[in-house]
Amino acid sequence: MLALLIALMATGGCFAPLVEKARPGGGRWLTLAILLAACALLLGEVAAFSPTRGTQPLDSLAAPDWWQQVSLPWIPRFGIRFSLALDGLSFALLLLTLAMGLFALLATWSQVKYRCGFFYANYLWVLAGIVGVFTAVDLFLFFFFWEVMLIPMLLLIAIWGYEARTAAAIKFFIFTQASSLLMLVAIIALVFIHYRATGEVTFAYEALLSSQRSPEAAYWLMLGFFVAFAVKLPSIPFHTWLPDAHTQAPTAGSILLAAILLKTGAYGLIRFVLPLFPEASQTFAPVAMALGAISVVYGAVLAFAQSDMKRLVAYSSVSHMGFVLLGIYAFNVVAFQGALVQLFAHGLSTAALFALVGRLQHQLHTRDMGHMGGLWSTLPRLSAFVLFFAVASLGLPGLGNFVAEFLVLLGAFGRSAPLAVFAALGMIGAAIYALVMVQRSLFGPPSAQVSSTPDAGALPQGLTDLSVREWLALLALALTLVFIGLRPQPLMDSVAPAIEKALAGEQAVTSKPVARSVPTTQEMTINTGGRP
Amino acid sequence: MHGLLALIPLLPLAGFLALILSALFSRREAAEGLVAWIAVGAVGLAALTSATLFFGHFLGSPGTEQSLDLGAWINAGALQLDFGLSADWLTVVMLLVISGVGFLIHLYSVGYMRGDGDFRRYFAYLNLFVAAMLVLVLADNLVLLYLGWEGVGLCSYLLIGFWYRNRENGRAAIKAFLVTRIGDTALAIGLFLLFREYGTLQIGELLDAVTAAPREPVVTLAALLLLGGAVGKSAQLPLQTWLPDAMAGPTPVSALIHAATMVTAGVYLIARLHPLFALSDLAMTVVATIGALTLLLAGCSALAQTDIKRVLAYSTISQLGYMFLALGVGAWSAAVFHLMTHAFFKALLFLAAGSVILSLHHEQALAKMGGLYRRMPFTFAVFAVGSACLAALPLTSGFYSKEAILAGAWEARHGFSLFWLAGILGAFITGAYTARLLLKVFFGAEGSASSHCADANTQVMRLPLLLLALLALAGGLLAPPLQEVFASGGLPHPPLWTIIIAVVAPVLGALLAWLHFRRPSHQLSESVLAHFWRQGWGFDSIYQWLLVRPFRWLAHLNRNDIVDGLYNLVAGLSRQLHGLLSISQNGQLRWYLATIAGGLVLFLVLVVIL
Repeated sequence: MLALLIALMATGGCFAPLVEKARPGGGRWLTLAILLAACALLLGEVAAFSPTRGTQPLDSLAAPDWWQQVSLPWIPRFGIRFSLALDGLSFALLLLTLAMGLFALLATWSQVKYRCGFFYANYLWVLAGIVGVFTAVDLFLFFFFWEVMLIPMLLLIAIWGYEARTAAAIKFFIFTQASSLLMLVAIIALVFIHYRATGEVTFAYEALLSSQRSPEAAYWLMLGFFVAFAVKLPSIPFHTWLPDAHTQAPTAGSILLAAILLKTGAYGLIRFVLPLFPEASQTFAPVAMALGAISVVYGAVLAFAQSDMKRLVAYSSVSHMGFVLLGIYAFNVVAFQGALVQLFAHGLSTAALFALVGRLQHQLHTRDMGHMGGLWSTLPRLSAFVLFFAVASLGLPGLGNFVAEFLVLLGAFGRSAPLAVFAALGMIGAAIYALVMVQRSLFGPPSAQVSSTPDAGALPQGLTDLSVREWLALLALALTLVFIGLRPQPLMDSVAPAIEKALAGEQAVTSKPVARSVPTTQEMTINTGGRP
Repeated sequence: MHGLLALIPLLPLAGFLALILSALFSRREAAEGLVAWIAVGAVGLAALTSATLFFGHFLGSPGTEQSLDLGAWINAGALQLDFGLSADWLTVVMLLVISGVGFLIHLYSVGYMRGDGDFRRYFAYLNLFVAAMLVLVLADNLVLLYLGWEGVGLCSYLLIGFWYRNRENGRAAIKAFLVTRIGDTALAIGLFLLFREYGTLQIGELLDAVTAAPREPVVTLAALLLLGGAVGKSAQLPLQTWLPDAMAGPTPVSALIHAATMVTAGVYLIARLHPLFALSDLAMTVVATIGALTLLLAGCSALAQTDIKRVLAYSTISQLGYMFLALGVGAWSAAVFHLMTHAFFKALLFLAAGSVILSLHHEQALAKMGGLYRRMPFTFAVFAVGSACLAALPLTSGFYSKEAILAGAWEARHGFSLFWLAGILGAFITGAYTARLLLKVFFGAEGSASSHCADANTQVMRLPLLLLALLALAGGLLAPPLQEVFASGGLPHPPLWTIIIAVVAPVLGALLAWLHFRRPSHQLSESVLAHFWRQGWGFDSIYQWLLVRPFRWLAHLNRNDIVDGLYNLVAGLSRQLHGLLSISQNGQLRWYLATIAGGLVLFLVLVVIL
């Protein structure tokens, strides 16, 4: 099923240009159909499988109980297998991926004007790559998908971006590529160490989980992974690709970047870094927490200083993702849950803000807030949504972001009070940049750009308020944020097993200093039920 | 009976949702009449429900509690949070004040906001505010309380900046939100600390745990952090600067949010957590000191203001100082009693001021008023009632609650103390600025705006004014029986002469002010001291220079991100290197030959030497 999901999106991407050529405008319909089919597939399969997930094996250290998995030989010479697996965390992230894919498609329905077929092909390929990243349990395959999602994203920025797109695309590419090479080195070293210990060449996640490494080696390997994921997250000091890439990317690209691509970094930390290197992560935790806390405050200050609305939202992402890093490395359930809720809340609120800013830029031909102002009187609906998501972004209780940030800080405070207090300053910072954005763009007298026609009531050329399609899409996001804010439990329960796994290693470290016993390498069960 | 608890905040919330969502489904603005019915009806029903709860349950049994669990909220690790509501006498007093005064102000707003293009948006925000405020007082855990706490802050922000076309209003709104957010962050950190030490944020469990095992310095630290939140919300020193600017909002908003309800949230928070505060002498002293200082400083500022709403704003800060003073000396019931009577008479004063402002076509400067008692006798009458209560003239509601506070201050230190003296001085100043305000607006020579005054009161505005005037007069009889909640002993009985001083002080202040300000020739702006007081003791400038400007400057300096500069440096270096290397590839054969020969020589030399 998982393989089918990826295959569907990848081949769908190949067909998009053909369909577009046969019938202009067909590409986006094809994309819509494929994404809807993928959603149906995912939900249908999970509905069939989820009843069995209550049973957990006793030796849960080694084998996360997957809801479902696929494993096929790929390059047997090096023990590389095409292995995909799904658990609660992956499922929730896949759902986010597909939902945000749909949202970005609907929100920018007719904004792509040239080379539409190729645009939607890349669009689907990025999504396919991300789905692969969220499900791969073979490290080589994981790296493969990691690269697959990178290249189409690069093209999206470089071809359909705004004025400085080439530079931004190159910057994005260099940062992610350089860091992922570090990860590749770390993966190969990891496999090599495993080979020396057991005489078996394998890239399988679960086999590598149980292999032993010297603490020094583990620390360096951990750093290799960490840098790759920290660039993606992004954390200080690896964040500088993000404002440029976000600002220059087409709206749909910005949404994908903010809502999902950044999440792969956090996913990598949770799925790979913590379980593979529990001791090293524990040692590294103070540094990582400090990086997270600094990201929170530094991102907020930078966001405040921007006059470009899209850059402001981009820097706010740095701030919000700092909470994720802080929460993950606080090593307790409360903060960890908060970090995971933040992945979703930030995804939704920032995606919506990018959609709104992108739309404004599309019609006003400027992102400079100095040229906006008074939008409330001309575009009341759009303004109301900007206000809502800005308020969500500053962490108003009752909305998802609050639950996330509150839990992260609450948990982190138990681990390191000074860092939590420092990060809590981000709550003030968020209020500053969010409200300043609202003030400069929505309030005040209408600016020249906004009201070029003298007669009141009539909108200037080309400026329209949200259409039904747009506000329905935004309303869906808003309602989801409210839901996460008031009923975060379903989401938190679904990711809870993954958290236990990630923290199990740490608890083992803290409770018994002796390295844990190595269970025999488990044969991976091939689940043919879900395969085509 | 239990279900009623949930109904109280949900009714205004439903009103908000109906008003806000109607815009999505219809292109036309809803008719004003319909909007008014929905909004006022929702709050009216909430008030009725609160009254039912009060008469049906609490009136007969003062010691009881009611609680209701609306399902789980957050459940992670050791943290178990529900949407739990609970009500005791303290809550019920707050419920009645919020929904009752809230209802009257909603009603008044229907007249005040008539014809405004954003009528629906106004009432939507106002309904949301009432809902959030009700959640705040009903919450049985601190995080839910925090939800209401932030919710009222948001509504305050939205309503201060309600007339958004003027950028100044937006600025005042941001200032209000940010200054209170600073306090809120302290409050949040206080919650983190309490959770780390005691493992729960349920108010009841937490207070039991804290009183069972008080650990210093945790208790003092937590109390001070929570006090930070209370100080921000209740506009006390040193976070009081936002409230005078908050007067940019429509006047009924000032009455509801910035006088009667939201700004009392800090008082409520401390009263609710009084066992925690009572454990720390230091925290209590800080509370009382902040209250006393705020009371005096804001009172002096009120004396020097030239804008009718700013006088009332500083007066509100000053009166909140009284409540903090009462909390700090452990006179919990007196603080809540004053909270209640203040809500009545200050809402009345603000609404009456609103009628004056509307009648003078949105004129707020005191200098342009005067002699209005003949032109708007009804407004004058209710304003005079409010003023009498504010000045605590005998037999008005303000008199009883202020007496209770002064008696508490006397008892707390078993006799004379600086806190008591501050209370007496405060009473004197209150009398003075109240008399000055009444004089400037309604007596004396007519100002430039008075001549074209047209009484703008409609029936829908007169009714709330009348009811509030009655409440303000009779509120002294409604002292809530909070002994059960606060487990305090009998009423304090200070010596008679202290009571006489307390009665005389405001009268004396009023008389002096009357004599001083009666002469029209007197110009307040001449005095440097008056100018200093009018600017609120220079707090704004200090913050501007110490915090705002350095932050802006730093942020502006780093707007291109210094970290990015680092990477650009790397990129630039590579480019330079690339440039240097490409110079060598110039396509000239002799150059290549020369470099090959040179390299060979260099290589040989190296070989020979080594």
